[in-house]
Amino acid sequence: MPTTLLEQSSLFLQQFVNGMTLGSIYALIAVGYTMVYGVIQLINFAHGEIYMLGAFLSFSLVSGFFGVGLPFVLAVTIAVLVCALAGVLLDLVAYRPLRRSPRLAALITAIGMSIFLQNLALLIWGGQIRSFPRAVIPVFLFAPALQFGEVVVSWLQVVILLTAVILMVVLQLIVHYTRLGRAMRAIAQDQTAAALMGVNVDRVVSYTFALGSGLGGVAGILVGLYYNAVYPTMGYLAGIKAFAAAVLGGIGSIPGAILGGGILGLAEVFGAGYISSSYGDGIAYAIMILVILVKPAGLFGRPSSNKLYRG
Amino acid sequence: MHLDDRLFHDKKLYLPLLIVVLILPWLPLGQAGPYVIRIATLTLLYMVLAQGLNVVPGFTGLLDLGYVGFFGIGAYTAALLTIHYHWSLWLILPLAALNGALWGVLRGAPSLRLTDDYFAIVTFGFSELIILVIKNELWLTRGPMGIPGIARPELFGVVLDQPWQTYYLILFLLLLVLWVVVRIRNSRLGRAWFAIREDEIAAECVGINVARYKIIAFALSAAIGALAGAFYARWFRFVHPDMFKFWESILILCLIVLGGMGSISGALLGALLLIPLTEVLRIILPSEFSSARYLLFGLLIVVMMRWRPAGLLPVERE
Amino acid sequence: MRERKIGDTLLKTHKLVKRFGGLTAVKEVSLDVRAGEIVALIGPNGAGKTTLFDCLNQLTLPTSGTITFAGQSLVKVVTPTDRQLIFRLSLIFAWLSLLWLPLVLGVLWPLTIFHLEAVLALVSLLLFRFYLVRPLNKLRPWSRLLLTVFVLVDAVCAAVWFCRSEAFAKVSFFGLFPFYPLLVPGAILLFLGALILLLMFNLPRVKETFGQPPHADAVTRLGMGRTFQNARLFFSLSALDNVKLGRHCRTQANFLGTVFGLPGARREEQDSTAKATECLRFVGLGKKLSSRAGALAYGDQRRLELARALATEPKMLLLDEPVAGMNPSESRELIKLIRILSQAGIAILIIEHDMKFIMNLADRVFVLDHGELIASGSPAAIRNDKKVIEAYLGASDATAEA
Repeated sequence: MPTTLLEQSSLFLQQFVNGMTLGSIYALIAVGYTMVYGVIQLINFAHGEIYMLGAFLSFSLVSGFFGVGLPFVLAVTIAVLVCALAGVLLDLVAYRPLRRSPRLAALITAIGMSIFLQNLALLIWGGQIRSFPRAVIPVFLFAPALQFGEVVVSWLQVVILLTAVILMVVLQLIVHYTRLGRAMRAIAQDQTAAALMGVNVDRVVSYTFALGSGLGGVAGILVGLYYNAVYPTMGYLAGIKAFAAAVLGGIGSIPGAILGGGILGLAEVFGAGYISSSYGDGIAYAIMILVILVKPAGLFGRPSSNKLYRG
Repeated sequence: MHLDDRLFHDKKLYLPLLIVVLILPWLPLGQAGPYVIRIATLTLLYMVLAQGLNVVPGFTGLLDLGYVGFFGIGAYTAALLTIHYHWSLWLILPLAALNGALWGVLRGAPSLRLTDDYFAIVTFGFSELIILVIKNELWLTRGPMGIPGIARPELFGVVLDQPWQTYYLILFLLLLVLWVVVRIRNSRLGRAWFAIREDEIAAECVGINVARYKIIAFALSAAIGALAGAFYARWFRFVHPDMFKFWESILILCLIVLGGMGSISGALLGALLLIPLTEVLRIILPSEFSSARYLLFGLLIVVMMRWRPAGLLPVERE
Repeated sequence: MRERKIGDTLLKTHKLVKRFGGLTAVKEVSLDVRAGEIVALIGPNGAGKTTLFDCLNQLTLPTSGTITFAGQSLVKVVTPTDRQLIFRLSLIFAWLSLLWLPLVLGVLWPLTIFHLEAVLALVSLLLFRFYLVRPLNKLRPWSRLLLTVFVLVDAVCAAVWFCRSEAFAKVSFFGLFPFYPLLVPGAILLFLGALILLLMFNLPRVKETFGQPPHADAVTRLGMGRTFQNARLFFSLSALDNVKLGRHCRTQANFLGTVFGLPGARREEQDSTAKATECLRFVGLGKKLSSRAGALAYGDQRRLELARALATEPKMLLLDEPVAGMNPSESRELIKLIRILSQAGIAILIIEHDMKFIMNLADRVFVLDHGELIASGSPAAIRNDKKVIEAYLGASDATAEA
């Protein structure tokens, strides 16, 4: 057990860095939940599966699971694009026909899709844990980038943090300064009014799914590399945790999802380290339930936009 | 008259059904006999579970994604009471149901104000937490080691160790549960639930204490789940945290989606169609893919919601 | 026509205010309705008429003011002394969490790798506690329940702490700092504090100060029936079931009675079917008992809603634009029904835009504009009131004709 102040604080710093890495991944996934919810008020339960798909696709393309091994960068690009496309397809096949149905129907469908995709992956890739072959991944990723005494920050962590930050900035730029972003915000305010103003709602929803799913795919790849483990049920837990992050930040709010992801990542790492490692997952559930019960609008949510209160 | 109402009133409907289920264990099935009885017992068990779940999403319109939590609570209550105190099944069944109802109320009370998706998430989180506690509190539940060697059920001192005996036992429990839900459905209570499902505000304005009736629904639903759990523990003679995974909640949800939400006969039909199918698939599929049969359920849910959202036996209160 | 008897005051509001954020929807409205009277509430769109109805039958809580209905006060008044009491309670609650300090340190210590997180965990715990105290000052009805739960947790923690103080004593932390002697008295203090808080939360005065959550169901049971601007029926149930739901608050059959089919419950069910059928006949839907409410014509739906409200045996009916969407003959029928009801002694408060309808029917008229009551009096007086004509500028011609 470390005793000196130096050792203590370096351990703390290490945990902090790990927590931030995890948090930025959660944030990437959470943004997908939050964007879709903001636009069509649907909790896309299958989003975690898109993330899993990202990890599996990049793994398969890199390791030659489908017959040909592609260079890392190309494989990753293809995986992200396919994820974005899968998101659009998901909406097209499952959610769009139910746009006018009761919300319960869409919600149940989302759960059905999640189960379906997860077991499809199980059929295709089998249940065992896969890992990226070391040979095809750029070696530098595993080298330490920074080192202060005991604290080691690997290049992979740097890449994850940077990717998350850059993508979030880009996303904010898209949402606030492009026609698409304006249309998205308009639909979030009032779908009918937006449609009357000439916004093509279906197309904007498709783009939203593409953006969110693409980010989810990126998160999947990063996690696959970070833990070096890819398996069909990985999307289930990560999806729930990211959803908890989105709720914590206020569902529908993108900055909220980012902050929520950060908080959740830190809470999980510190919670597992200092409270109880076996209840690590429980922390996410507990946070989620507490936020929903005590402050359902989250940290950044607009209380009026999610109709939680009767009347 | 709707099928649900005829279930207990129309002799032409229930007599043949009852005769079929009663003579099932005595059919000359040869080698397959024990196996068929096992599947039939399982199907009846899931019928009980589906009836219990149906109360919340079907009658009050709130999606419950954590039903398996109550199943688990019931199973562990029965298991612990049996191995520590060797109590009779007939004492344990009501106790387990009461314990389930208690947790149902505890879960429901804080989430009374939540609407569809948030309620679903809270129920999900709650059941995951329950399973996590079962997994980790070794002093109470032995955690991942499970609790083996639970005594078989017994009746008047006779141990029910034949498959047909447990089959009749679950059949009795199913009839009991059916009797309760059918009665309730056509009563003042059931009407209040339907009113809450249709329009909570209007329900309040005609003088229905919404909170109270929701709580009753949660309690009843959880009690039925726990009852099934208690039977399961004594029948299977082993409980383990992995038996109560999220999948099970989805499977039960799938049963009532297939039959039609809120439809009592629909929930029975759903279990009758899906549970034997699941078991057959479990044999046919190679073991590594055996859980891929859930793929079918996922697809089924999506397809039903798309083309027949009201289910195979929809509720129409004409 | 038979002479109607106007009885005592049934409903009385005093300076009723409802604010939504910055918007004041109802501004200091004081009105009264007597038994057997037909009173109309008119005003331009967005004048706050429906919000006023929501306040009256407690679908929402008014921000301030009082409502008295059938001799009962529906809104509790909070005095400054009560507020102060609550404030003190909240302070005790917040500071009680300080006593958690040694407990949390004691629990965390064996697992903690170094001090920093323990301190951080504590600080966040304290902040959380102080954050939770905030709603106390806002006196939300639900905060009492929430706080009760937290105080219960406190009490349980104190008990654990007391029982396990020996174990905590072994933790090295307590060797370094002189906390150990405080453990047992601290536990007792925490437990007693929690106990006192629990008792105080249950003082009738505190309970009242926190107020009740909106309870439209209880108000309905007191005898205030209501219909909505757009019929809010239980659309997938039959017309008869809809009206039987109105009987809900006048029946008692409980879970056990229903399951075992006790004679009381059975008789009650028959009785409510008979009464519901009677209500349906009264509004002229006697032939459509078993049709689905959603399948009825719009005019029938409005009448079904009225029947449902009648089934609750109201002393007073709040009707929100009852003739909107009805044809002339249907609305004439409705006027007849309303007259019969008021002859039976039921007070009727009615929101309506149709001036002709009002002038024929109402004994008195209240005019609401921008949430304020700008005029009240007999229909004839209202017709010539300058303020009303101004408020209705666009509709003034119609008013003059009527």
